Amino acid sequence: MNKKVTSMIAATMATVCAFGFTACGGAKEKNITVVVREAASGTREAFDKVVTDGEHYLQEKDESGNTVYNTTKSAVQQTSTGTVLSAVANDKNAIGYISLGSVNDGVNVVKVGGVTPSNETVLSGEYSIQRPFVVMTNANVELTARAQDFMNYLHSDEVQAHAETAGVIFLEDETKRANAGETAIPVIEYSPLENLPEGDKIVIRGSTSMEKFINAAAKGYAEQYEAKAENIFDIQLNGSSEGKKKVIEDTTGNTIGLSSAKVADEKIHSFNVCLDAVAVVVNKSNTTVTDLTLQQLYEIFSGKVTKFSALE
Amino acid sequence: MMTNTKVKEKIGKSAFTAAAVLCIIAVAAIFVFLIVKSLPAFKKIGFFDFLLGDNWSPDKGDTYAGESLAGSYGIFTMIVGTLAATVGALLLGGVFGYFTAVFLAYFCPRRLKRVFSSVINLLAGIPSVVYGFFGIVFLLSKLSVIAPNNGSGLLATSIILGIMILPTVVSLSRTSLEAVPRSYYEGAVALGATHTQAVFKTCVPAAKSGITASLVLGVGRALGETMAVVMVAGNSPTYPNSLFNSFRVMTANIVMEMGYAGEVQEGALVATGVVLLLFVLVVNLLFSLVSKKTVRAAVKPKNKTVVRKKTFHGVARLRDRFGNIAYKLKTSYIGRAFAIGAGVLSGGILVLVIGFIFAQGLPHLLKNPKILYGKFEFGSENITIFPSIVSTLMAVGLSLLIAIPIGVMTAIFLNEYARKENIFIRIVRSAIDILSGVPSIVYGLFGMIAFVGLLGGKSSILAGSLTISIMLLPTVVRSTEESLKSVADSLREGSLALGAGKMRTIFKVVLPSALPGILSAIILSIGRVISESAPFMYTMGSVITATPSSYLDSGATLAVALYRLAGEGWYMQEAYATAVVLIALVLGLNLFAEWIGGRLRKKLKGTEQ
Repeated sequence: MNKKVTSMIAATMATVCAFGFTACGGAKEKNITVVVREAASGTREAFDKVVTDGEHYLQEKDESGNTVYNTTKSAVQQTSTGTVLSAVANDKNAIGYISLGSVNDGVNVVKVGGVTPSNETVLSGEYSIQRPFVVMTNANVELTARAQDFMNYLHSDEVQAHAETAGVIFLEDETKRANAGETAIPVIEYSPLENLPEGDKIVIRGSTSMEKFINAAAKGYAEQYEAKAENIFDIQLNGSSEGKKKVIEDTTGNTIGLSSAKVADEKIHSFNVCLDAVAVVVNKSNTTVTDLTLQQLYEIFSGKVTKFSALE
Repeated sequence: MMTNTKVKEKIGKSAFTAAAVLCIIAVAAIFVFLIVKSLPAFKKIGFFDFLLGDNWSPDKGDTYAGESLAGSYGIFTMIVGTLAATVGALLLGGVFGYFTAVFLAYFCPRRLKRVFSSVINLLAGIPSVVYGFFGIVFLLSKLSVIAPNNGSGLLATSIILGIMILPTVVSLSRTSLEAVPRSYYEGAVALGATHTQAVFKTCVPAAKSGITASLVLGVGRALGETMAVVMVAGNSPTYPNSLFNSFRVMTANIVMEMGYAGEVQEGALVATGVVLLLFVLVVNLLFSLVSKKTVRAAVKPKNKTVVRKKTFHGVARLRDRFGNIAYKLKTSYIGRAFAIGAGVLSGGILVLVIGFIFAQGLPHLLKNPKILYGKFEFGSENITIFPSIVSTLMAVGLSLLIAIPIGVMTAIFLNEYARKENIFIRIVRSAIDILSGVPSIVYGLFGMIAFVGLLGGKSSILAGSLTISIMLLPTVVRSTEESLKSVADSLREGSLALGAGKMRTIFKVVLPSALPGILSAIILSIGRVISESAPFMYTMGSVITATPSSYLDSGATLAVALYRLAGEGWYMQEAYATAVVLIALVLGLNLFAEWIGGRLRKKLKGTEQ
């Protein structure tokens, strides 16, 4: 056993040393590292369903209705915005996408088709890679007085400031606020009640991407009653699908769900409270790639183009 | 008087047996809950399509009620990925771990020894999430220089996993090496063997059972590791067909998609957990087949002449084989060089990981010490981890309270009452083997289905602690049993001869001598609770905003908080500061435990004389 073990360790050590020595070379241009999110992520869905070469999308259904992912198999998948950021910030050849509100100094934002993601370009639709932030309640249960009051607050333009805090875009357009089913959801006037309605804490579950927004909104709501947000809300965010599940299971009318992807379910009342842009990001040192078309994005993310220099 | 003692003995024995039975129940429960939950998915997808399909393209809209599936759910690429990563980890971490253990037991200067054991214990305490960030930011950027891609893939995964299984392999191998009677070594040296020969030809073979056990535990850890692997593997559902290409392991599949899964997809993820479980079963079976022989051979011969004969034969054989003096010299130096090299390397890794984290996080922590004790405010940028510190301490306390008594009692049952092998004992042992191999994310799934379900669907610190305490059981049992084994039989015989009952012997003689082992079990357990995140994510919740006031509240442990803080990329600096706190905590705990251990040992020596 010992001899085998010794030879094995010798082999490993040799490999490690070899790596150490070869570590000096490597002037050739390297392949693009495509960094994406996991298949179920809302950010990925928003990206995959917009990026196209005119014929295919990164995520689509084939003729028989099966879901097909056209993202390259050599892509690196990360499970959170934070790890995508780390991966792109530490790799000169990387390209990835994250929520616009999460962009930091470690990465450069790339224009898409000549358009920089901003409030105006997202609202006008010029910047097409975007997704709604959805607020959900159970359609078959009457909300408690407190939950209803908070929902009214979320329906009003009071949340505009909170959207700005969170780096997302407040939606005023009635038809764009509408989700599946309804035709128009207007922004309403809101004024606080005389007293904070009595009752249990409002349970809020769902998308982690909406954390900044909902925390700001919760704080703003609590302040107008001179109360503390932690005494009014029970906020635990573990993902959009949990939010959806909890809303469907809700029997007390006390649960509000958050989703960062479209919701189409007859058991759920929902509306789009904000829009979030998905920004395409590259490494800080990458100054050559500043503007990509949807077609070029498709080619990169599907693996048809593997070097930045090969882009036309 | 007599009957009173007899009753006590009976109660004692049944309590110990009950603890052992609990271990079996735990295993059974894990299987039953997971299988029941995943059956509809197996049925819908098709057993073989699921296992052998290599296309994983889930569709969130798929439901059990629906007529056909829009997505594809095949996990074969991930099965291959898991296997490859485990083998890689074993090649790196297992081998280094083995040599490090030999180094610690036989080559390390006494003064350095304490430093090294703290180093190893510390490596065990570093949370997997921290290893993950170390992997992304440090390891990948170094590997990317030679890799055709950004460095993620099989090699990066194997290195990270290798580092992570190192402490498990080292601490257990070392315990069993140090339990080899001194007479083996002395006999070999007396017969003319060099130090190195005596160590590798006499002492190591005698400790084979322990070393094999440590490797089994290492495999379990590598199979089940989640959070660190997710960050460096790349995670595309493809085969790992080179050292550097994006591939996915089964644990990663679960943790990546659970949060956003649709109905069939969730079932398929639980089913992935079931496959992982089956994997663990197979690995355990294989190992028990392989190690059966070595275990039998290594059973301590009680008779001194047998020892002498064995040593004599061993050394004689060795002399025949290595008659050549030059060769003898070579083996001696190579062995020593590897042992010392491995020891130094693990120290180096620790310095690297800790140095990296401190460089990233310490400045922020010093600038904003309020992060430690401040109060969370909604909608402000004042992040605080005070709630997570409280949650972590609560989880540590409760899980130790559950796992230590049950674990120690099971170990007592196995070592003091079950010296004859029978079917029940074999079942208990394999239950513990299985528990140690069950991946942490699978514990998370089980806790989510069982405990969170039982507690009304609300994640809570109670559910999280219950989950993790099952996970701690094997560590506690094994560590305690090893130290019980090392208590000389003459002590037991002496006590019994003086008229003490079995219970009295156990509590007054055996347990006190085994205390250092139990202490090390506690340290390992605390380290595990602090550093694990996968079992807590779906059982304790990931709330970092409210300080828990009871065990029924949810809360994030520090490791989960670290993941959450880094999650949206908003609070990276705070995340690194949290990592610094975590590591400092582990360091403090270790020093404290060592101090206590030292005092205990001194005290024990005092009473012996």
